[in-house]
Amino acid sequence: MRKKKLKRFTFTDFCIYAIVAILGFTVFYPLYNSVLISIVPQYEAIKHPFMLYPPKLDFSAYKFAFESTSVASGVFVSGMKVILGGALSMVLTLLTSYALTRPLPGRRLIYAFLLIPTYFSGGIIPNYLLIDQLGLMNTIWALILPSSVSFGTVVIFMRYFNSLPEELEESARLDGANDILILFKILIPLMKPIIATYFLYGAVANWNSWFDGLLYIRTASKMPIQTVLRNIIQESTISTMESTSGEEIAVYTEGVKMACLVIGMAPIMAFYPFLQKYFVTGITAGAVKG
Amino acid sequence: MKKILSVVLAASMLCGLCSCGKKQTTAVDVESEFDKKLTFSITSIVAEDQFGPEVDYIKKKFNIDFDIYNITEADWGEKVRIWMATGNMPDIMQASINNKNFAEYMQWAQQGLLREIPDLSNYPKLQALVDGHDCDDYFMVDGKRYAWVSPNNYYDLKGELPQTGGYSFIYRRDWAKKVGLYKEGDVYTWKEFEEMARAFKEQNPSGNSAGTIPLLGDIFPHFAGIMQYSPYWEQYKKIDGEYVWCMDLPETTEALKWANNMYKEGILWQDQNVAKSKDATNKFVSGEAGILFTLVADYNIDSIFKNMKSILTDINIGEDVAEMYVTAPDGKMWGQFSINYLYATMFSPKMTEEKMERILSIFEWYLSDEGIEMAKYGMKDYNYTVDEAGNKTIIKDSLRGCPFVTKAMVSGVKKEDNKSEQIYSKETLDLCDRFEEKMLTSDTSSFRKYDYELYFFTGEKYMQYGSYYYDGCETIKRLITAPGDPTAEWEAWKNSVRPKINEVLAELNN
Repeated sequence: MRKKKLKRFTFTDFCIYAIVAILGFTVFYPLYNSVLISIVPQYEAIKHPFMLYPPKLDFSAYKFAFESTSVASGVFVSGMKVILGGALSMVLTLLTSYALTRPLPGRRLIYAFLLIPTYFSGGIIPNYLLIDQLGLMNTIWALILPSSVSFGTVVIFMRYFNSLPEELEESARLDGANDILILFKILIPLMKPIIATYFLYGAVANWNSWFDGLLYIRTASKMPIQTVLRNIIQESTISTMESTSGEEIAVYTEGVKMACLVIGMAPIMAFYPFLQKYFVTGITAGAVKG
Repeated sequence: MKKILSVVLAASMLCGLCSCGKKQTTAVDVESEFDKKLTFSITSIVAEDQFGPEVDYIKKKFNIDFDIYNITEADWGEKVRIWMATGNMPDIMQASINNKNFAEYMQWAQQGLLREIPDLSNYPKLQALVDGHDCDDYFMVDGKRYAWVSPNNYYDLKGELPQTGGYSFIYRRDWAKKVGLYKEGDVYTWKEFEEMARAFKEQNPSGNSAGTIPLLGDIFPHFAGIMQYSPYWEQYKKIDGEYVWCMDLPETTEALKWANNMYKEGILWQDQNVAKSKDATNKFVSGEAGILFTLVADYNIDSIFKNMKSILTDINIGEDVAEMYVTAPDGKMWGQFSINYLYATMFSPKMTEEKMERILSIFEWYLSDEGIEMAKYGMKDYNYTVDEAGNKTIIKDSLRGCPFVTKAMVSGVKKEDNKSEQIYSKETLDLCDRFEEKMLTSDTSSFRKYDYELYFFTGEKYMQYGSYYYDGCETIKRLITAPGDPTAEWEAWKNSVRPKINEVLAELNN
C-alpha cells in the first residue's frame, strides 16, 4: 500500500494563512464590534470603543428599536417583498429570457425595448407619477412591481438557455412536449443553481432597499424594514425638538444604529446558508459558453 | 451547524418582534360641536399607533380624522420635493423652512402650490399671535400668508430672551485646583483660559499615560477659539450700514492663527479636525480631557454627567466638573439667540374652505387656556397626574405622543417649568441654572443675534453661493493643522472665492 505523503506546512503557507487571517479579521471585526456596541451600555462603549467581549450587557438599544411597532410590520412587509417579489421576479425573468431565446416575431425589437431603459432611466418624478396613476401608491405592489425584472438577469438567463444543448429540447419536442412543458419540466430543473443564486441576489436587494419605501409608502405600518430602521435612526438623532423643548430621547444613538444594523442584517444572513451550495455554480452559470 | 445558527438567528428575531411595543390607551370623553366629520391628510414624524390620547381628544372634539403621511426630518430632499413636484402634497404639511430652502417656499407660494391662509379676523388669538411674532412677516409672499409659523417660545414672541443654553465651556474643576489655577466663581479671562489649558498639558492632571487632552470641542465649527475671536465669522454682518463677509475680517484670521498655534503646541486636541459626532464629548467623559466646548443645555449636560458617573466612579460631579465662564479676547462672554420660529405649516391648495376653517378652529383652541394647558402638559392621568395640593407630576413626556400633528404647529413647543426636575439630575440643573443666570446678568455677556433680513434673503447669488460656509469650514479645519503660518493659504482661499462673494455683497448692499 502506497503511503500517503504528508504535506509540509511551509513558510509560504504560513504567509498565506496569515494574510487571509488578517483580511478576514479586518472584515469580521468591525461587524463583531458593531454587534458589541449594540449590546453594551453607552458608558462601556465610550470607555472601550473597540472590544473583544461585552464587559456589561444592556439591550436598551434593541428595546428602543423594537418599541417601534413599525419594526414588526416592517419585517412582515420586507418578508413579503422578498418572497412575493422574488417569486414574481423569477417567473417574469424566466419567461422573458426563455421567450427571447426562441424564434419569436419582433424579438430584436422587444430586446431593444428592454435594453434602452437600462441606459436612459425615466427618473424619479415620472416613476412617481406612474406609480401614482397606476393606483399603486402606498401599497406593497409599489415596492415589488417596479423592480420585478432586471434586464441584466434576463441577459444572463438568456445566455444560460443558449448554452444548453439543443438536443434536449428537440428530443422533448419529439416526445410531444410544448414550450411550457419544456421550460418547466426540462430546462428549469437544470437551472436550479442559477435560479437560487439570482433569487438570493434579488432577495438581498429587496430586503435592503429603503428608498422605494421612502418614496411610495406614506403609512408607517406599510413601510419595509429598512425604511423603518432608517426612520428609527433619524428619530434617535433628532436634535431640533430636543434643544427647543429641553427634552432628551434617553437612548444611545450609536447603540441604536448598531442594533438597527443587526436587526436589518440578521434575517438575510439566516437565509444565506440554505442557498450557499448553489452559489458557485450559479454565479458562473451563463458566463462561459461551453 | 450553519443551518442551526440560521434557525437560532431567525428565532431570536421572532422573539424580538414579539416584544414590539404596544400602544397605551386612555379613554377620551369629549363632545364635538361639529356635525360633519372631516379627514385631513397630514405629515407626522411619528407613526399613528404611537400617538397619545391627546390626538384622540382632538379628533373627537373637532370631529376630524387624520390620514398620516409619515415623514422624518431628513426627508425634505426626497419626499417633500417630490410631493410638491407631483401635486401630491398632503392637506397639512409641516416642514422646517430655513435659509437654505426659503427660496423654494417662496417659489411654491408664487406658483400656487400652497394654499393662502385666509384673513384671521375671526380668530382673535391667532391674529394676536401673528401680530406679535417677529418672524411671521418674513413668510408673507406678495402680502399673502402661505405658512403658519410657530414661534420657538409662545411666551417670547419677540425673541427677546437669548438662548442661554448655548455653546460654552465646561471643565474639570478638580484638575484646575490640582494645577493651582482654579479661580472662585469659575470666571476666567482668555489669557487665564489659555494658561489653564497649557497647565493641563504640562502637568497631566488626569494621570493618563498618554497625557491629558487640554482642550477640545464638539465637531467643527463648535470648538474653541473661532467663535470667541470672531463671533459672526461664518456669515455676513452689517457694519456701518454695509454688509461685510466676516471670513474676511482680521479677527477671523486671528482666530485661525490662534487655533493653529494651539494645535502646534498640542493644546488643541490633535484629532479635533477629524472628530465625528460625540468623539470630543466621549474624551471628556472618559476622563482624558480637561476643557470641553459643548452645548450647555440640560439634556446634553445630563448625558455627560450620567456617563461620567458610570465611567469615573470616584468623581464628585457637582464639585469636580463645572461650567467655565471664559471671556473672549474682546472681553465679552459670547452667547447666542436662537432663531425665533420652530416650524412652518403649509396647506394644500386642494384643501376646501370648510377644512381650512376647521383647522383654524383647532389652532385657535390651542391658544385658549384649555389648549395651552394641553400643549404644555398633555392629557391628565396619561401624561401627568395632579395631587390634592394641585401639584402636577409628569409621568409621560407630552411632546412625544403628539408631535407635529397639532400643538407644535400652532404655538411651538413649550418648556414646562416643573418637568426638568423630574428628568434631570440636581447637578445638571444646578449647572444649567448657574449658567443661565450668569449669562443673563453678567456685564460681559454678549449675544449673537439673528439678522432675519439676511436669514430670509432670497437674492439669486446669495442663494447660489451663501457665505461659502462649508468651503470655509473645510479650509479652516485643514489650516488649523498646517505646519507653517496659515495666513497666506487662508488669504489665497479667500481670494479664490472673492469674485463670487463680491457678487453676493453687491446683491446684499444694493
